Parts: sequence; C-alpha cells; structure tokens
Amino acid sequence: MSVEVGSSRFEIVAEVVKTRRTIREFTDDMVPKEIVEKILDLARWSPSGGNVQDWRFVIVTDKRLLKAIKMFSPGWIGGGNPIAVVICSDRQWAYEKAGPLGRDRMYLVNAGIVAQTIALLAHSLGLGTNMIMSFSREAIKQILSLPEFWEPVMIILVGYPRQIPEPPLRLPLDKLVMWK
Amino acid sequence: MKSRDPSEKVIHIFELLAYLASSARGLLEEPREYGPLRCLDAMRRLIDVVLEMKLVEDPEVVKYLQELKDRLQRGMITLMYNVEEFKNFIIDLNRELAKIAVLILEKYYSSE
Repeated sequence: MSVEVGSSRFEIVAEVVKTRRTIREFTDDMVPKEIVEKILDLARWSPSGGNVQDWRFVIVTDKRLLKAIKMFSPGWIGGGNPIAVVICSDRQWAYEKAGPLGRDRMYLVNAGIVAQTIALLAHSLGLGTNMIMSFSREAIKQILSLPEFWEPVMIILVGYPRQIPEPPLRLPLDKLVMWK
Repeated sequence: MKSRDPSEKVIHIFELLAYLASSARGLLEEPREYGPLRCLDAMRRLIDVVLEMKLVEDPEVVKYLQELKDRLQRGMITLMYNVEEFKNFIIDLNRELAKIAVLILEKYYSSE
C-alpha cells in the first residue's frame, strides 16, 4: 500500500492539525445544537484503549451553569459565549471493560484522544476550542449533578473565535524522536 | 461585569472566592508555574471587582488599575510562550508595585 504524503486528503488533515489554536476569546454567538451533535457523533469514532469508549459528554449551554462552571475553573481564562463540553469518564464502566488499567490509566488517555478529535473537527468547521484541565473536579461534579462514577476529566469550550493567537513555540522534531 | 446592583455584587464576591478555592484545589496537583499564574489572575479578578464596585474613587488610581489589569492579562499569557519573559514580568511587576505603594502611602497613610 502506498503512502501519498502529497495527497489532497493528507494536505487537508495536515492543514487542520497545524492551524488549530487554543482559543480563549470567543464571540457572543453560541454554537447551534446540531453542530455540537454532529461533532460529537463523529468524535465517538475516535480510538480508545481496548475499545472501552468510557467517555461521556455533558454539553452545557445553560448560562447559569456555564457561569458556575467558570467560577470553579481557573483554567477558563477569557471571554465570550462558548458552550462547554465536559468530557467525563465512566470509570466503573472502564473498570468492567478493562480492569484496573482501564479505570486508573486508560481513561485519561481516552479522554485526550477524543478531545483532540473534537478540537480538530470543530476547527475544520471554523470553530475554536479551549481544552481546560484546571478546574475543581469536585465542584464540577456537584454543579452538574454527575452520576457517581462519572469523573470529569476535561472541559472543552467550543465557540466562534474572536481572537486567534499566534502559534506557541513547538519543540523541534529531533528533540522528540529517537530512531532505533 | 456591568451591573452594580446588590445581586451582582454578591456574584462578584463569590466568583472571586470560587476562583481562589478552585485554584487552591488545582494547585495541589498542577505544575509549579501555575501558582504564580493563579496569583496574577487573582490580581486581575480583584481589580475587576474593585472597579465594578467602584471601591476606589481616586481617578489616578482607577486609571492605574485599569492599565494594570490589561497588562496582567497580557503578562499571564506569556507563560504559554516564554517562561523567562513570564518570570521577568512578575519581577518587574513587584518593582513597579513597590514604587506605587510608596506613592499611595505618601498620599493616603498618616504616620502620626
């Protein structure tokens, strides 16, 4: 099977990967429900360890709940009117499907994988995202009345970018790669 | 933050309290540099509350706080791009605030 680096599919994906930025300033327009549903419907095709699919999504559009989430999320810096997708892991489910490894380690990796899929899909539609991990898990669980075994892992803000920041520095490939 | 009615004041106070509590919670596990970042953001948020509630009336001080708030916002972001610049921002900020504090004390604090 040949690998076509110059193919249009590769170029499109590469462009989406490379131009995605963390967006902190959003406009006041809220993303329509059907677009969020479309993104999540595609994101569930992301890979997960052991195909556990322990991710669960809480989509928050209610302004009062968004305000409460922001109050307990120091990592939520910036303004505008994004919605929040709270990526949770059903850790009991992860344990039943993949044992202690699923419950204690895979769930973090799985959340990261699906978060990147969401971010890239959103970016390809002209939306901006901000993946937030600095929040009080206990407070968010309380505010959203999450089921006992759902642990909030990440909050992704999704909205229309008001400012697109410059790309931060990237480490050179030779610092990251070891060939054997 | 626009309204100054009592309910908004209550929300402002609880926003700040929630921010500090959730920052403390996060800092139990977060990277070391996030500590100074949260302190800068707390300054920015405190200025927001002070300005919105009109707790300070001196126009010179209000102007300074408004400018400081904007600079804090920009300074915080440098952590993502250049840690040395971020550190220097904090050191310079301390020098600057020391100068301002002396001026404020001269103007408002009686040593008698």
